[in-house]
Amino acid sequence: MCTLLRYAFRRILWAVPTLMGLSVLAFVLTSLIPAGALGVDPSLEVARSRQMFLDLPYFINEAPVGAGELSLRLLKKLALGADPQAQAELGRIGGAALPHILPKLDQLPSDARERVAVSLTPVAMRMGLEASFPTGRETRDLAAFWSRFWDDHTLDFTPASASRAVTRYAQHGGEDRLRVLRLVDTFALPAVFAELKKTDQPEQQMRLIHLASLATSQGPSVTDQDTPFTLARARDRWLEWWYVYRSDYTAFEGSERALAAITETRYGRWTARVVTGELGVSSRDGETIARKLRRRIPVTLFSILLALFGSYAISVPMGLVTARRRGTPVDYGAAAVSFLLYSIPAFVQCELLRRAALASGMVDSLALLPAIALLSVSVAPFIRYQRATVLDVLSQDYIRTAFAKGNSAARVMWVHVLRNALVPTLALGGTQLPALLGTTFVVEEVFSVPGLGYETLRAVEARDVPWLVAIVTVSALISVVGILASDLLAAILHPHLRAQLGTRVGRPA
Amino acid sequence: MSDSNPSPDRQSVVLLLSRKTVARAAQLAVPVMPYATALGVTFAQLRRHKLARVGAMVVAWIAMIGLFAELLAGERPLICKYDSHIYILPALSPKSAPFQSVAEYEAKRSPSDWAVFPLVVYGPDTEDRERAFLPPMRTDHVLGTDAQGRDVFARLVFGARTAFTAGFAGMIAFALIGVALGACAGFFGGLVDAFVTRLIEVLSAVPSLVLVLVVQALLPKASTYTLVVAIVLTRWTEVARLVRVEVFRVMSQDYILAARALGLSEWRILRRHVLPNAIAPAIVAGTFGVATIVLIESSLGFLRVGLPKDTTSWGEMLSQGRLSFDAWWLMVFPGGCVFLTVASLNLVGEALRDALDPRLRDAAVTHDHEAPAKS
Repeated sequence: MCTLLRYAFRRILWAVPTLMGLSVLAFVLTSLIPAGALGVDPSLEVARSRQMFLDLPYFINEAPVGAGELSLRLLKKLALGADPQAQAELGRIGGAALPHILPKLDQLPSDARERVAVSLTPVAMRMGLEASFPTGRETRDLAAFWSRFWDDHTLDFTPASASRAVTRYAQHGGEDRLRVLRLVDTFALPAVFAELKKTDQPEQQMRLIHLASLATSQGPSVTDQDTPFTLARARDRWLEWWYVYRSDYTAFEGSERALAAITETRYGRWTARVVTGELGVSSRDGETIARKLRRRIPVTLFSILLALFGSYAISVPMGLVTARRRGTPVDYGAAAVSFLLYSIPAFVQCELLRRAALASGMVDSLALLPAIALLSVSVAPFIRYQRATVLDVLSQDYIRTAFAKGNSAARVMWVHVLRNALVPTLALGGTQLPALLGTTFVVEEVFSVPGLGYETLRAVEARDVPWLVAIVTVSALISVVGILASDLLAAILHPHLRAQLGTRVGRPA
Repeated sequence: MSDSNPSPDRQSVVLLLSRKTVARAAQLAVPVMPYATALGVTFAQLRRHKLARVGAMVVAWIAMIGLFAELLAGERPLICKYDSHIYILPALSPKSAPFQSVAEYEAKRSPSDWAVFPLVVYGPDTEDRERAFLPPMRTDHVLGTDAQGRDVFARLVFGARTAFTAGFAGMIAFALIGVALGACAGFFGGLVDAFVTRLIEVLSAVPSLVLVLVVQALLPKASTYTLVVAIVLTRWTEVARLVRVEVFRVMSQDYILAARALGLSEWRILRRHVLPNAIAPAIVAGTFGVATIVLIESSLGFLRVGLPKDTTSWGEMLSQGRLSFDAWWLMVFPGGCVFLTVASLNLVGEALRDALDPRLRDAAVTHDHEAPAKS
């Protein structure tokens, strides 16, 4: 038992580098996409490339850009001269930039100070400061207004107070609380999204989404009339948005800064997302990948498991019979059938099955047909493998001994042969998983089964990159788990293997 | 060393050579080689395997058909006299051809002109919407036409080219990569081995079809070449794994120790002693690999993803057959082609495996070629 546990532990440890390698592979796939391939609209291009984190370095970010760095960079640009792009950007970042910009406002030359103040005007509008805002007057007054604003509200711009305010507003609502929160603008966003992730109360979610769309002046917003479905969709979209744009509104300080060197990279962002099970949002219909997977995986896994069990059920007795009657017509017939089954392409088999079912009017059995098709496509290796293992076992000395002891043929077959011949075949299931997964793509397309394969083909048509990358990751994960399981199963069932477990994994004995 | 009386152990080897070879050697009074080369033994065994012989012939035929596709189907003639010039094989180059289609030729020809056209005078992309879904043997479209009125025979012939180009190019590439990396892993061991093993494990965890499909979908300009590259990316792992194990086995043999004792360089040991003895599984896996690639290529065609629009593929024809229920010829002919190719390659592969590596004869179904060949 102890060796077994040690083996299991070691085997699982060995899966870790594999998983890391897989993540790099899937990540490389995302980087395959050259700029300009995502959309025709150049204005969308920037947003898309940000969604794929193409603006970040690959593996190490020695100078991660948070809200602080970004706003100081914009400030410098504005200090040098008028720059409409930087102005718009500063307007977008808004409240989160204020703690970094406003204290430095006094050190700037007056013309630069005015340029900054002007570009902050939309922020003031968002904050609901129209009343006290010096409209139509000298730009000098604008600068003075912002200095005064900072003197009055320095204390509101601390993460702790923002998060307290957000929590209170989410729980109780109320105009006053909203006004306070609008004053800090995007500075509250980290707290808003932290709260949005936590809460499952619809009205709290609604308030938080409202707050987010106020601060960023973009949709989707939700109202009381919206269905839970719309609310969930909006929540997903917002969380996705936050995942992509978080760094614009968050200041990296202290330990966060050190961590950001790793997390604020393409690979870091991508891995963090996979590990947390958040795989982004499908660009086809805006649903989260995670939710889609949760719906599609059971469909595919069901037919795979059914086909797998069917394969065992057919191949185990067939292997016994054909090996026992080696060289007889039974054996040759079985060999011919299995040869045909693995030489006829999967899609032809599926199509033939579909037509046969349609022609015979057995439309009722259509639900089972995909599994049957998958079974007929995948059973051949099992039959051949089982036959070979049984033959191998039959040639062992202990079988001769068993016969010599006077056991009946049936007893020898069931007790001595089957037990020993079963293990490799059982373990074969795990290694066959990748092939089975690939085959389901064809099967699901032919029978229009709404599983992983069907969804993937639709995603290909729509160039739904997040889903495509996710499907590579997920199918590889399923395969790794399958291989792991079959290795462990073999170790549990097979005394021989257990004895050899001391040897290093991955080395042939 | 007399040839008339080989020692018993040599005799067994000689018997492996075909009877004809031995008889001829005796006739010519040329001493039979006192040893048989591995390749000679293999081919002798292959020749004795009837089904494999048939399989090899079918594969060769289909490959030839693909190779000479233009001579079998196309709108430009093989040879013609036109405008008092004789053109030889304008079928191969559209630029040097005096005319591009039969209709053009008929319209412009003068009485002294003549032309020899290919077997079928339609190209794979010659569309004629008015003659869609013609059944076989009714018109000059011998195997009928598809939904766009394209000739099925012409498309089959050019489909063979696509399938075999991808199959053989991919096989050569992944066999080379697989042998190189597998041999390095087995020979050098240690860190190299750990790295290659991880790489194999990672890449073989992703189902080939899925990876190829996704790569082809993501690339802005997917072509048959990128398809081959994507397939090679996943398929070399199998060869590498087999070669690696084989190299491990060979490395523990006495003759390697002897070679070391002789002071041979590492490179020479690897090249002359290890590789020739460890290459057998790679050859077998390569044969099955061609079948795998043909299957993947036609699967992609069938799913209508990942192949450029103008590629002629058996799978794409099948997908047409799937949509039009009554046009059985769109299902049967391309389906038959894929089946014939894959089955023949599998037959050859199995015979090769038996010939090259008798140890594997029965246990060898453990090679997971069967499984991926299905994907």
